[in-house]
Amino acid sequence: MSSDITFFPVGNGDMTLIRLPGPRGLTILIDCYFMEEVGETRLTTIEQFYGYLPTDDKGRPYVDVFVLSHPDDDHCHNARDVLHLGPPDDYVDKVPEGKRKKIFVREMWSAPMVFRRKSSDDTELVLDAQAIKKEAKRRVSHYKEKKAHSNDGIDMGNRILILGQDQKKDGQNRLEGLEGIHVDVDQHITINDDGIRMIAHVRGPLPVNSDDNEEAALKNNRSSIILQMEVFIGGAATNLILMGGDAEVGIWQRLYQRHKKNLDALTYNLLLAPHHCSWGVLANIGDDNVDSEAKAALSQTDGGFIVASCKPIKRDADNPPSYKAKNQYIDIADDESSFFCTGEYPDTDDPEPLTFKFTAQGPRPPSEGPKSTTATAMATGLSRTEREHG
Amino acid sequence: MANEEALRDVLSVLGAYHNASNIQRKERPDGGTEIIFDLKVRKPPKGFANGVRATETVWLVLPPGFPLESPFIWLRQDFSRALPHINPHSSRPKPGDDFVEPCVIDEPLPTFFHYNGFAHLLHRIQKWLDDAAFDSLARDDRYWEPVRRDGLSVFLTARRDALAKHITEKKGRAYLPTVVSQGNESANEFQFCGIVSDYENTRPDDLVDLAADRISRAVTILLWGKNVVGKYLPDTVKNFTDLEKLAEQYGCKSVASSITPLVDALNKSARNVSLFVFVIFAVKRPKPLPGSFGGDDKPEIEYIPYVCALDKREIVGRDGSQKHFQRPDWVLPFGLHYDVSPEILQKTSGISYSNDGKRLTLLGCGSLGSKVAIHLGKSGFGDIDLIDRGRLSPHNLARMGIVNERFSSGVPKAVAVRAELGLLGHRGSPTVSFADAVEDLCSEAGLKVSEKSALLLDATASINVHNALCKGKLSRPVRIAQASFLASGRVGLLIHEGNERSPDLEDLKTEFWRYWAAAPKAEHAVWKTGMKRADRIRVGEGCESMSMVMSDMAASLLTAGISQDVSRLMRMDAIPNHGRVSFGIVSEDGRSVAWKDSVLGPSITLQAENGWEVRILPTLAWIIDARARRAKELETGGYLVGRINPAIRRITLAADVPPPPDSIHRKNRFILGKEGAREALMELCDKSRGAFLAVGTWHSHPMGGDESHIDIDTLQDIARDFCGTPAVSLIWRPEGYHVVVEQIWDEAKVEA
Repeated sequence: MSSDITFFPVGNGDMTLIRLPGPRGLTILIDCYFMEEVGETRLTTIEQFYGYLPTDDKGRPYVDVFVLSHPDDDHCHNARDVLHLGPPDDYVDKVPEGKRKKIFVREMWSAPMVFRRKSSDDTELVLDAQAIKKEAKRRVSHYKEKKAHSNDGIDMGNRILILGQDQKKDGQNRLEGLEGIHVDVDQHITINDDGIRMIAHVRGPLPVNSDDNEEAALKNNRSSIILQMEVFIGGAATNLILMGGDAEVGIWQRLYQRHKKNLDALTYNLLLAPHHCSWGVLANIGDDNVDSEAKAALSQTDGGFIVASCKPIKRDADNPPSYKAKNQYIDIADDESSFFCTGEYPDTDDPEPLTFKFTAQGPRPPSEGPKSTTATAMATGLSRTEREHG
Repeated sequence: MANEEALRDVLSVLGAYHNASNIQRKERPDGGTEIIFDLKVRKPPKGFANGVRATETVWLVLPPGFPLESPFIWLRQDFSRALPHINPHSSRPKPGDDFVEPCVIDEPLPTFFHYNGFAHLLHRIQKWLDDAAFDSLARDDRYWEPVRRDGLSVFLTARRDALAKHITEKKGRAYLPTVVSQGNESANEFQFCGIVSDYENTRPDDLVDLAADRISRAVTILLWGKNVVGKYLPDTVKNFTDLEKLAEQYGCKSVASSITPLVDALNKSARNVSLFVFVIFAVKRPKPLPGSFGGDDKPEIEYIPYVCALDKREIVGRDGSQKHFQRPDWVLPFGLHYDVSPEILQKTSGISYSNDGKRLTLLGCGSLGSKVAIHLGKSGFGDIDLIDRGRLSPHNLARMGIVNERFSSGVPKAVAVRAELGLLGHRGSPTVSFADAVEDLCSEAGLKVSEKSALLLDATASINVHNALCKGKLSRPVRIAQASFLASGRVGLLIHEGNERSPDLEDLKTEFWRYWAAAPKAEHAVWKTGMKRADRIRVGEGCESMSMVMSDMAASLLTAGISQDVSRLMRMDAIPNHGRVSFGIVSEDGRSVAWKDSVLGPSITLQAENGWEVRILPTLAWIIDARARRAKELETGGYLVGRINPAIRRITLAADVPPPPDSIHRKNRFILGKEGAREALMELCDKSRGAFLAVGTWHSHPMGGDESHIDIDTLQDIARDFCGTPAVSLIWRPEGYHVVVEQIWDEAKVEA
């Protein structure tokens, strides 16, 4: 088993899993799009996804951390049915035959501002997002009840980290008393445990702005959790991953402005192209020209890889995914073979989860191979032949 | 010459692959072909590791037999050898000396090639080179990839845990006696293997004596260093100088200085000896090795063996003959195979037993018992207490799970089975007892059962043992199972008792026969060979043995299924509370088995006044209860069939015949009719293969109360018909069952 990151083909949606094996191991799920097996679907189903998860000593499939970048359906689809959202004691251990146990979420990372910028009223959220928000609130209440000073005093299944800032309520700071579980923008979360070392820098959601116009801009640009993660292999942070949910052009412009004196804050070896390769990430609405600052924010790489989590990108006017945006990313990566689309890997007929292994030389994408190793093998069944044993 | 069309297939795949370029073709002197091409390697964000280039040249050597023979893959001579997944000692056809062979797949290359074709092989080459560039050749980041020795046909067998116990924090060495299992002293014909036979550090003088006595003609010198070696060293040893250099790089003691005491001992010895010397570097790595077996506590040690020999030269001097031992310059790499152990057997079987010391008491080491023991032993479970007082006769080899000819005659069966388990690495764990099970079960102390025993399996197929187990005494309580063959090997039976011995073996046996009593006649074809109890087999002059005639194949077919279940029971934290009957029926062509299972709850136990215990199987109790309640205030009843076992004074009620149509049901009276009853009873008893008899009747007392005078009269009538066999009158009452058992015979005939 290797340390790796897997992007699951779920059409225009996101579901990314980071796995860092070790004596205790660490699994981080960023967004989810759980799909039941329906007809001829070639996308990742819930059943396949479960194969990637560890199981705890109580027989529960689990993730150490679940992060919802922002509360859109294509980032939390079916979360209510698949994730255990509720107190750990309510976990249903015994399920009828043929049913799956739910995924136990040991810790959540949640940003209140992405919910507030999405809607002022819970009912505007999809039911899955509502359930996740409710669970985040439950965990915060639990923390307050326990009067803990950090997550150390909190059981798995009740833990939460609050990312970024929150609006004041009646002049009161909503985050007061939550200092032990609060990570502000440009602060970081360090995981250093039994040989696993990872630092997650919080780059977004961008701070609350007192200027109404500015705050409206953040809201209109699909405010999302933006993480720059450093995974250490062989003692060095050789794997830098940048993920920004559906954050659009206005956010990336502001991030560029914010960090232009030290662009290390946006550096990556592996980028998840925001908003499923949408043109709106690189250009303003109605504008055919790329916004140079947004592009610069997303260009801080040298020989890195870019992944678009979307359906196959066709040479048409569809958006997202946008063919124009794809070309911009190829330009950034400087090599067509460094750009990957989850709907096209290894081929559009039969997409498979796309895994990058973390190595001392940076994230390592799957090796290419002759086309016949995918299409022909499927047609002839050669590579799937049952082996005989004597 | 390689098949031209197949060769063109390879070229077409290469030609169509965008990462391949500069494809050249060259004929080889051996009639094969070389295809040389450049492959673009994926550029890592942090730059190429291990000196890998952006474009690497690959040599494909296609042997003359291609495509029936698979191609071999080679890289440039100066490609780094300090990497995992390189075959350092390959003897495959190569483009020239010192080319490097990458190990691109984890199965034999021909197998992969024939299953997948060249395109997939090319994909693997690409992946291997990309991995080398990213320094990610290790399959699993958690483990250290050991140096490959797959291409070697010679290997040394040793136990990791036994080697590991010598290794200390400080630099050191140990001398271990080693057996050469098949040898040829010519260095060119090294077709032998070695087995480390004794893991005690032994003085060189003693090693020489052992060699002189031809007990062990080889020595293993285990060398280890103090420090962790976290980098791969090229495995290019060809001669003694290379070996010495490697010892230094691994931080081990010098090989030459380690061999000197052996040379001195050989020179001192007056006897004519020569020795093979295995040198094993025990290298401390920063991570454990993947899938290492042996249960040692040093999984991070990598053992890397080589072999050389001490050649004897006799030089005759003026003062007589002198022996001089010379160290030859050749050194050969050896593979290290793990000696057989429970761990390797479990791993290979895909079965995992807990290490909680749980034991199996196995009563009977005959055809069935020995095979169960060997099946379990081969799956890595050897904690078995073998009990059998019998001795082997040569004919036992026809079916028993032993093949060693030493055990052909006279050896106690339990000893022979223990020895076979010993060969499977279960040394010391299996125990042997020659106890007479029946005698011990009847004794005050009871049959001795280990404190750790989780299950007692009776594989004796002996009715005496069955009865003694039902009624006798064990030194401590233990769950009991029983296995046997029936129908000349067409049926295999495994039953296990419920918690607190309810249901017990007798209940479960009755349940088994109840199945057959109720089964459609078509299923009874399996018994068509008739009720064979045993065949008389002549096993010597004036010596005959009673045994069921069946082949080893048939025995194995059934015992495999029985062993699966026994293995499963031994792996459970706790054996289920209910009892279970499982039986397998072999198909008519003798090739397959269909297993049926039923679960049985506790029986209802009633005690009759004259000492008979009456048990009602839960399946029958449910039927009687339903019939009685359905009749409401009216009395009802029926005929009963069951199993009478006088040895344990028990009558087990298995099934009933419903009241015939001429029966009369009243509020306070029930007259059991006779119409068709005899035929129905006969059929049940016949189909039970003689296990069941008509044993009496039952009727209900919906208003409660014990037996009436009429009941007693009826029972006595039946008992007279039964001629001394016990007759049962079972009364169903809302408050519970009541039973009376009557036996009538002419007591006057019996002298006081």
